[in-house]
Amino acid sequence: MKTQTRAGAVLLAGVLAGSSYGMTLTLRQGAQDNSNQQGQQNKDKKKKNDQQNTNTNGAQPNTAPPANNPLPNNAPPSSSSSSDKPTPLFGGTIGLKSSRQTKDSATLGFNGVDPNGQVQKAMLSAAATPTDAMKAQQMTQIAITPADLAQFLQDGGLNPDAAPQKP
Amino acid sequence: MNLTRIFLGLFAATLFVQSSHAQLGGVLKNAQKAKKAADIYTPWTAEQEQAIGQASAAKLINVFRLYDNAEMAKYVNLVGATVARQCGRSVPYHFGILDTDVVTAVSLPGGYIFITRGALANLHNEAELAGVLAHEVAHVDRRHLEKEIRAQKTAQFAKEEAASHVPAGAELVAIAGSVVTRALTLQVSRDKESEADKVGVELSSKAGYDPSGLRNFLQFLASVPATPQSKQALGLWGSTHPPLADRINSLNSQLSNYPATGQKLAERYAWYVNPPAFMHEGASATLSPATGELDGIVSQGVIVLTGGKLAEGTRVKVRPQQ
Repeated sequence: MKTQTRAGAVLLAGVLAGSSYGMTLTLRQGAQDNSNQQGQQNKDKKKKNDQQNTNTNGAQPNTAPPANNPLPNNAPPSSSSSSDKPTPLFGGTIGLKSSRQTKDSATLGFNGVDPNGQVQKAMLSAAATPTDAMKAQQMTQIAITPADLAQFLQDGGLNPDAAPQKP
Repeated sequence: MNLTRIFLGLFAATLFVQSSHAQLGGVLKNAQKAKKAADIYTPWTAEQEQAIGQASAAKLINVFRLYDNAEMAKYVNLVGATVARQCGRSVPYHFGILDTDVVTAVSLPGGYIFITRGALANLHNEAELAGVLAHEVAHVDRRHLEKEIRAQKTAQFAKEEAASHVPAGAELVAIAGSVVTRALTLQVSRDKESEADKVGVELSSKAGYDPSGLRNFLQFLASVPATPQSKQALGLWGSTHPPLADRINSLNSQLSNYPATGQKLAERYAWYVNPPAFMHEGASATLSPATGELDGIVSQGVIVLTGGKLAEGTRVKVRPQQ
């Protein structure tokens, strides 16, 4: 009788253990399934992107004619302006842009990324310098006065009314 | 002997049950914490958002540097303000230009929004710029990045918990690091990206721009041939955004509900943003007026002719040499 009770206890424990083991396995399996599924999705996505790149190579970008293009008051002479349709910069042509802008402090390059276009880990782990903090602070000081904005909207034929603000 | 085996079996089974329960308990505990993070989500206060946003902006500037051109920065701010004033949440938006050829735009909490020099060089008109900025404004307006940060794992949750006050010092640096790392390395969830596209189109349209600006720019990006240069320029865009084709399809559906009106403002865009200024110093360029081709070279942000002469009133195209 005593032996039977012990055997029963072992059996019960075994069943309980088996049940938990099953649950653990299910969880792990589920996680693995998700991981596999995600991996497959990523592969599918990559394949889709590759196909898309193949399909769209050489495709023409938007060629719709520009709408009304009012120029600022101090617009450049027409000799240096162009209303040509925009086309890709990469391997294509761009319209000559007339502007007062000249190169200021651009360093011209793929700052911050590796050849795959991903942000370098060293850059992510580096702390911002006081100069960076100062430049971020200076961003807040770019003055857009209501008069500037009103003129800008009027020149561009844009909506002068703003949406009501929520608190 | 049999009795010993039975006891050993019972002992092992008990240990296994405890171990499995502990493991299961850990999983459940983590799930509960994640749920707690979502359930008790309270938005950052305006002060917290500003502090975290500005520190994150400094961190982002550390990675890419800031393109220091006051006039162009003001123009980008004017376009940004034009679309931002069409959304409901009152946020002091600040727009900056990152000094890199990478083509992307990034939004950070507190209304700090950046577009890269590479993106500006490849936009074709103001409506496209407005579309891109409106998309980023929508991310800020709906607190997308903030919500994703909050929903991060338990360790991150604990860090964010600590920020129930306005963070400062090392704590602020750590949070800013998390924000920028997330913004630059992880894909925003598809539903949030979709919402930002949708709201962005709406903001652009309300502002008076052609609402198809964002869609047109995405179509342009999809048309860029695969080269090492384009891979480097668009790598970040690809890793932090859903596939272009999906977004273009969704935008096409949405745009069918909008009238094909609104301003594109290509010439004003050209006036303020000058692609030759972004071309590499010393790059050769071919000017192709209707009468023939002329050679030039990029110097100090302008194309200096090295052969031929342009008659007054001649309209030209520039074809950068790859």
